[in-house]
Amino acid sequence: MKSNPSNEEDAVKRMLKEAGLESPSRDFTSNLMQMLAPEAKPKFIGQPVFNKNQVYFFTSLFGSFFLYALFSGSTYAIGPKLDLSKVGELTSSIQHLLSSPLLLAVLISGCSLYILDKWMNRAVHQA
Amino acid sequence: MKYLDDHVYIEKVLAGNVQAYALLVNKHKSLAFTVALRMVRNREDAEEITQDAFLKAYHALGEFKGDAKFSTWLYRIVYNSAVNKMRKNVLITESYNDHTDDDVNFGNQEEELKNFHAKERKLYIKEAIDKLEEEEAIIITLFYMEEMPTAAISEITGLTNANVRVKLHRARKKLQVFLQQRLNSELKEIM
Repeated sequence: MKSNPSNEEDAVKRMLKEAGLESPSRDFTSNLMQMLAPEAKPKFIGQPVFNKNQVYFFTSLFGSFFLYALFSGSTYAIGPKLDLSKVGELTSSIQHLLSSPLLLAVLISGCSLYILDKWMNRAVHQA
Repeated sequence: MKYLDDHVYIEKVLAGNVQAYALLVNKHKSLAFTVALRMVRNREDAEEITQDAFLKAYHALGEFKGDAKFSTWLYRIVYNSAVNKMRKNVLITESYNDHTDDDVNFGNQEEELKNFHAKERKLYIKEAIDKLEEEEAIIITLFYMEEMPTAAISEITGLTNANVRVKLHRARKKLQVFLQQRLNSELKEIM
């Protein structure tokens, strides 16, 4: 006697449902969450605005313009002329300030502390 | 417990609420574990695979695109991890085809059927599933227990849709043959 396929299907379905799913150990979720707890939230991976080639292109373009402007010796300007003598005054005053040993010591120790703090933070996160 | 849509939990996790992931884990852990267990046939390995799969899924949650179902994506990770584990262990599993009738000890069938209880029936069904090949066991589990369409199963296993249908049909037949042997009168009653 041939059995009805839909009945067979129903019977298999009923039997499998009856057998039920297997369960992992009781503390499965808590163990997993303990493993995740010290970690930071998953990183959101964003799409960069420019790709690598575009970044290289713009960097080299601006770089070449800058170098041309710096070394061409041309005094011709498209826009209003800039008075760069003020820049020179500012540079010499900074040089004067830096020549003070006390200020130089403060700057060096400040930078050292900043770098040390960054380094320690990274070491703590890696541990 | 009634669970919300997976995307609700995913958004919370991505916003920094790590605890929301526990709900996502509770929602899917049983089927994920069952899929792993059907493959490796060892509870410890299956638990390790399931745990690793959830960890991998957590770390890659930012890359998860909403166009696919989270469950399909997760079970694919579980399936692939189980395949890798099996390759490492070089497990030799018995398939139902390797069995002869002599392998099954029926004993006194009359007596056995008389004392049939739901618990025993459950054990027989699990035993029957274990007799199937790994892929067949997974396909039949996902199709009947999760009521997943064959297209989604094909996405998880990497098999073609037609192949999934063939394996599903074959698994159903094998289950019936095995259970008919084991539950003779019981099965007739159900059908």
